Amino acid sequence: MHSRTKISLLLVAVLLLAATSALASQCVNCHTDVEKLKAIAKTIIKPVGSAETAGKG
Amino acid sequence: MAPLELHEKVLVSPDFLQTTHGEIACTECHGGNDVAADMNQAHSGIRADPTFPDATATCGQCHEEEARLAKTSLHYTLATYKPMVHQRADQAANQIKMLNQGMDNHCYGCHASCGECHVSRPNSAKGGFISGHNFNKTPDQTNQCTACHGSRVGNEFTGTTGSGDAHYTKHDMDCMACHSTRDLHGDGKSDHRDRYDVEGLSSCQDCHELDDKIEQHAIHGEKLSCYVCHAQPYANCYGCHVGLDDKGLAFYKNPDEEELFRIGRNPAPSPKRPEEWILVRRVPSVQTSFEFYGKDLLSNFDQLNNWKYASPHNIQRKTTQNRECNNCHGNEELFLTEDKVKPEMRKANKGVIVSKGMIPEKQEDAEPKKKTKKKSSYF
Ligand code: HEC
Ligand code: HEC
Ligand code: HEC
Ligand code: HEC
Ligand code: HEC
Ligand code: HEC
Ligand code: HEC
Ligand code: HEC
Repeated sequence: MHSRTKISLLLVAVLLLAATSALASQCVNCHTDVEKLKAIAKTIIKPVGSAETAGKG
Repeated sequence: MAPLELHEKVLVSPDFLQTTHGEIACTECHGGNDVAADMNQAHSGIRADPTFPDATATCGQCHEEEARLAKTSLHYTLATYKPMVHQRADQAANQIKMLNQGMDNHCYGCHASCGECHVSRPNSAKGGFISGHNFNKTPDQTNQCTACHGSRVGNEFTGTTGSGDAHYTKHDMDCMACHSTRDLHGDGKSDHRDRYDVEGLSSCQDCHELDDKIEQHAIHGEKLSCYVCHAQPYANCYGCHVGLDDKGLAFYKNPDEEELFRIGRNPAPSPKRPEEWILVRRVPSVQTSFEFYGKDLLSNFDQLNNWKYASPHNIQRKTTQNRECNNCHGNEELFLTEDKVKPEMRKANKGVIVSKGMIPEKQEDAEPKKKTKKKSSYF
């Protein structure tokens, strides 16, 4: 095999790998992206506990 | 335990993706839609905790035994709650129904799943990853165990109240030094009376033999539980009430708490706990605890004692009561005598109450021995 073919095969492999792990899971994309999560967090209303709770649990 | 920002709670660390569990597709465990870029679409149909109430589908193919035994773990089933409370209840069907409504609203959120011991903070403490979604072999004492067992066990153990537990403060042992998969992964039983009824629960005797060279050990043998001499005062709560506020949010009130030390009689000596003298703790519930859900739901409150076996996690070698024989002998204050129990509960607590005649008498010749230290040679 020519070294050039080797390199292009390698490139294809790398691209494929990147494509499957990046594109196939939007879950991973979002849950590893701090900035994106921060932005979304701002839009979510935090659930609150009752203000009447008093004493130790 | 410092609160986590919302985004920190769900931030997956890249190194997780290189681990055995991280290489599995998110959707295998959580469901949802992993090609949708929109959050709501991606989240449609997800299981936030795929290990509760049943971990068989998610973990069972590789951890068969853990998933099977979990069904018998009190951390999963909380199976002692209803049978215990029902013994104090008005037995009319509609009354039981109202009581169960209250219990369902307030008691069953406090379970611990595989995920809550190995992946994230418990949901009852608002969740969030411990370490970027990694599956840790050893649970984290602060972020996991005492996130639930905090106000009593945790405070006593670390010394927030009292001087802490020598196992922790002096010998650097955490919860997992004594509690392991043996008790925490479920014992295969399905008829637990209470949480002390778990096979494989830790015991002082797992690690210590009573050293008879110590005079107090030699004299009392196994008549006294270790706690009677080695524990410090511990939390006693009473007056716990639950309900829903005007927004429909669940609340509890537990305003009365006291650090007390009370020696009682063992009402039911068993081969595992043969000692005659134990420590007893006042339980938080009272006849009106569930009043929000109906009148007189616990009308048989006095069917059971409300001073119960206790095992405070604040062990010390030397304690106020074992420092000298007569700090305990003749010291009525330490013992659960009748006057310390509410009149209407005296009958129910008969088995644990110490009559005045039973309190061990002052030891006349037990003045602290002046140690005549033998002069040791330096050579
Ligand atoms: C092997 C099964 C498994 C896989 C694969 C998995 N998770 Fe989890 N995940 C869990 C468990 C168990 C928990 C802890 C749930 C709990 O304690 O409530 C969890 C918790 C979470 C939480 C926090 C939920 C909360 O409300 O606290 C998020 C977010 C999450 N996972 C996202 C992901 C993402 C993104 C992926 C893929 C990169 C993924 N998970 C892969 C099992 C898995
Ligand atoms: C595909 C098989 C597989 C599945 C599914 C799986 N595990 Fe594991 N788990 C393993 C293997 C293999 C190990 C051994 C250590 C390693 O490779 O990380 C392990 C180790 C562990 C450990 C100990 C961590 C360590 O470092 O030793 C815990 C805790 C754990 N798994 C919990 C879970 C939970 C909870 C689930 C379900 C959400 C689960 N596992 C699902 C294969 C699996
Ligand atoms: C109440 C807490 C708790 C719960 C719930 C729990 N574990 Fe564990 N788990 C532990 C402790 C403690 C250890 C022992 C850690 C050590 O030895 O360092 C452990 C160890 C493990 C290990 C490592 C192998 C071993 O046996 O030591 C695996 C795998 C595991 N757990 C899987 C699970 C699975 C799967 C579930 C749910 C079905 C689960 N655990 C639920 C506390 C828990
Ligand atoms: C989500 C809250 C929660 C978490 C997290 C939790 N526990 Fe528990 N634990 C409970 C509850 C509730 C019970 C009582 C169940 C009952 O009495 O039916 C319990 C019972 C116990 C018991 C006695 C019964 C048994 O099964 O052994 C021990 C010991 C214990 N927990 C230790 C631990 C340790 C150690 C950790 C950390 C690895 C831990 N717990 C994590 C809530 C939790
Ligand atoms: C030095 C050993 C030791 C350590 C460390 C330890 N425990 Fe325990 N724990 C015990 C023993 C022994 C018992 C059972 C006592 C009995 O059966 O009389 C017990 C019982 C319990 C119980 C059930 C009784 C109750 O009070 O509700 C819980 C819950 C518990 N431990 C939680 C914890 C937690 C959480 C930690 C860490 C903060 C911890 N333990 C650390 C020895 C230990
Ligand atoms: C998992 C083993 C283990 C269990 C269970 C355990 N201990 Fe220990 N304990 C130790 C070790 C280790 C030390 C420190 C070395 C030593 O003194 O042997 C220690 C030390 C002590 C000390 C001396 C503390 C000091 O000031 O140095 C006392 C007292 C004690 N334990 C009592 C108890 C009592 C009471 C229980 C039951 C509630 C208990 N232990 C349960 C392992 C254990
Ligand atoms: C009647 C009171 C009493 C009872 C009951 C008692 N102890 Fe002790 N224990 C003492 C005293 C006093 C010392 C010595 C304190 C000192 O150093 O001055 C001691 C010392 C110890 C020590 C540290 C010295 C050593 O032997 O290494 C351990 C560990 C210990 N006890 C464990 C236990 C265990 C476990 C039990 C229950 C099986 C128990 N004790 C029951 C009074 C008691
Ligand atoms: C923390 C409490 C405590 C301490 C400390 C203690 N004892 Fe006791 N002792 C008891 C109790 C309770 C009994 C009753 C046991 C029984 O049911 O027979 C008892 C019984 C006795 C008895 C048997 C006779 C009787 O009165 O019933 C003698 C003798 C005795 N103790 C001597 C001592 C001496 C000497 C010391 C100090 C070196 C000591 N005790 C320290 C609680 C204690």
